[in-house]
Amino acid sequence: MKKGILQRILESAVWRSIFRTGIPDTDLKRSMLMYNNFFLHIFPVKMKRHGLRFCYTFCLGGISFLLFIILCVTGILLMFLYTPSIERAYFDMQALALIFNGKILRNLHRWAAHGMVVTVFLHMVRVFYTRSYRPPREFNWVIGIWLLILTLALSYTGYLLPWDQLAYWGITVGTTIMSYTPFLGKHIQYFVLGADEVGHEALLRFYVLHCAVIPFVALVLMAIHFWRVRKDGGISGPL
Amino acid sequence: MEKDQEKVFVNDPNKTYGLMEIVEGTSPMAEKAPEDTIESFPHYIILLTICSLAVTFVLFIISLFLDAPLEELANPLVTPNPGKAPWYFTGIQELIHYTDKPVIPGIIIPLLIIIWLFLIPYIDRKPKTRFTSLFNRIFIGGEKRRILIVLFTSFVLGALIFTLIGSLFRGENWNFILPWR
Repeated sequence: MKKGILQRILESAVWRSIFRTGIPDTDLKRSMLMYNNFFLHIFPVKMKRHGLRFCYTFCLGGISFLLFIILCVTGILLMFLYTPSIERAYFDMQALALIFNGKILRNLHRWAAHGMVVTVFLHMVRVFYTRSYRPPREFNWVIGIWLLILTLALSYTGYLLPWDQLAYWGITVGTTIMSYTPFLGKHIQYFVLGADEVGHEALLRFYVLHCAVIPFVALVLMAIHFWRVRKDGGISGPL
Repeated sequence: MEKDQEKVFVNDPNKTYGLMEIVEGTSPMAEKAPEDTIESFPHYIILLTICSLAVTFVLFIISLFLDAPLEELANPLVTPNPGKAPWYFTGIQELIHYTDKPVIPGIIIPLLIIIWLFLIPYIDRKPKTRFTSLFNRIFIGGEKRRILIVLFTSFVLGALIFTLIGSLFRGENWNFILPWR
């Protein structure tokens, strides 16, 4: 029998050196495909049937992570086009609208960020109502709450960066609320802003926190969060 | 899982085994209790791909037609009325509006809620002693955790309602407005 071009490619030495498993036509090969793939190996090779029900998870954790990836990609692209200084930040934003697809880049980043705040919160709500925080998953719930806090921190630090009226006064209102903390209020506000008011120091701080510090911490916590889902016995069962 | 397996495979040396039935399957299931699992590939991977593409597509459509806001250049001398925090903090701002002691809704209540959220899995446990059983009855509400559900639901609804009021229904001088007027 003559071999088709697809067959030839799939059987070639190059293809087989990249994808070792070959066509997944048996259960063993289907397992190997999950197991041998770097990106898929965080998933189990077999899953509980109820865990795939959309109405159990609503895919909220997965959507949150997808939005995080989209935010990383669009965020890095935006970093090429943005200067964290009060002289240039706002005008970089205006220039962005003139760049090919620049507006869409910013829109994607903005709406994905708002979306992530919503999906992470809803993910917490889902985990609560399915009572998935019960032993042995207690600590993963704690990591999840930290991730919710970090998501809010990421969104909040990003809010200042466009340096428009919305950003400036949004951050002013927020940090004023922080300054109501008994005893330490003014110190906390100064620590966050790097000065008494929102200015260049605050913009630089928020930029570094937004682009480097918080995403890194969040990524490490996410890695532990996903790892623990597996280690604690996979997705939780029905109540 | 261990217990489930023992129910099916009783550790009884006198038990004899025999062929009972031939069932359909694609892989051997020797010495395993029946489990309701399926292969991740393709079942889960298909779901994952569809869901990811759908979310990305919807996000693209939104970004095509809805522009992210960009107001005028930041000006410390011109205070907008009302000055609003990002939408996820307008609930707190709304609460602060009701009191002249902003530290209570601004700092203490959010902090207590966060600590309570952290503690949920550690207080909702199977009671072992009489004390923990009493504790459970007061803070959780027994096996059905009625009290905890009421508390959590009121937290979610409260956050939703105050955030909605704070971000949409508040105008100049934080007066009540209707967003569609």
